[in-house]
Amino acid sequence: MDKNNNQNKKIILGGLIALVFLLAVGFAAFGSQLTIKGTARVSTAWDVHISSVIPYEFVGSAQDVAHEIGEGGLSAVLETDLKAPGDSVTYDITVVNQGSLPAKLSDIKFHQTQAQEVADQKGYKPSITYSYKGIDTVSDDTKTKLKPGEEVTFQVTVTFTKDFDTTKYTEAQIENELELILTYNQDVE
Amino acid sequence: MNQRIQKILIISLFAIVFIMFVGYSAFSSKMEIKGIARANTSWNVAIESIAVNEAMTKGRGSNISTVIENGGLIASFQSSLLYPGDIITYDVTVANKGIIDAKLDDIVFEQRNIGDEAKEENLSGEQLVINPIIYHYSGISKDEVLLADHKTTFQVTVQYNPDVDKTPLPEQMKSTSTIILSYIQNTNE
Repeated sequence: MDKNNNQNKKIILGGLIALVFLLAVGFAAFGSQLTIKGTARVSTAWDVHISSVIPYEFVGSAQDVAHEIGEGGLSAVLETDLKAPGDSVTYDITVVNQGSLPAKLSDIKFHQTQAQEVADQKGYKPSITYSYKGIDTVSDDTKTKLKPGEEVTFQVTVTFTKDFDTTKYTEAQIENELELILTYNQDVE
Repeated sequence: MNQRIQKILIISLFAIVFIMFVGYSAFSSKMEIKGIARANTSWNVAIESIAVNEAMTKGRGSNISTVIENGGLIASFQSSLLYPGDIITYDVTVANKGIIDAKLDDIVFEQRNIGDEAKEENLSGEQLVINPIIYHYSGISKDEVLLADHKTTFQVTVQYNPDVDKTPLPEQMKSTSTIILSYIQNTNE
């Protein structure tokens, strides 16, 4: 009799365990667990750089020899050949703010070698001149300030002086070199 | 212990300041744009040729020689005229082999007789000096434009003055003529 009771208990226990197992499987089979994950990151990346340089306007026999952006977009080189007075090339240069902080153009340094000669020698006439437009340090728009994601395109033009007398120019007037340095800082206003 | 805490505090503060410094420096960009432009121009206006124009030459005169020298900056001719009315005409070609348009800014024309003067008596009995040899140019004028890679040909004529046949003439007559053409860069003004 006792032996039968024990056996019955075992059967019932086994059955219950199996039932629980079945129920668990069934529940699992008839249900889906939905998990929604989200990730948030706070980034303070600073990334303001030159994104493109394109020669787009040619006058006369002017030629663009080369235009390159340096590594990281923190420098660019423009090389131009001018053949006759009046020749010119205009370059579109784009600066972009791909960081998450607003930027502000705080300083522009503009220097060209022949301009120095003009300053040093009275009566000296430059054969080649550089000029720029489209950026400054005083405007409230993209000429000065770049919010994250914004960009500004400005122009640099190099010109062979139109009424320059090419029968008399000196060796120093054969070339002109440009140095244009833009300094962007975080805009804290 | 206090000292230890102090040390930790100092080091932590240094670390924080350092991080802030690096962070501040990172939020600034200097972009340098360099340019170099060259004036590869050339000026080349010169006499290309001088030759007898047979169609416009009359009489028994003859060409002795024609010479171009000094890189085309000087052309010379020598002629021999025998009888009043003899004409020898030279075609002179000027070429602009540069890349800059040129303009004829000035023409200077001079004639000089060498030796004894030829004289003619007018109706009043006065002795007038006449030119036994007459030079003349045609086909070119001041302010004419000579485009780059173009040429122009004009005529220089030397004539034994047909009006001297009744005049007692010296045995030998010589006359020289100089025509100076001054070309400048054409600025389209």
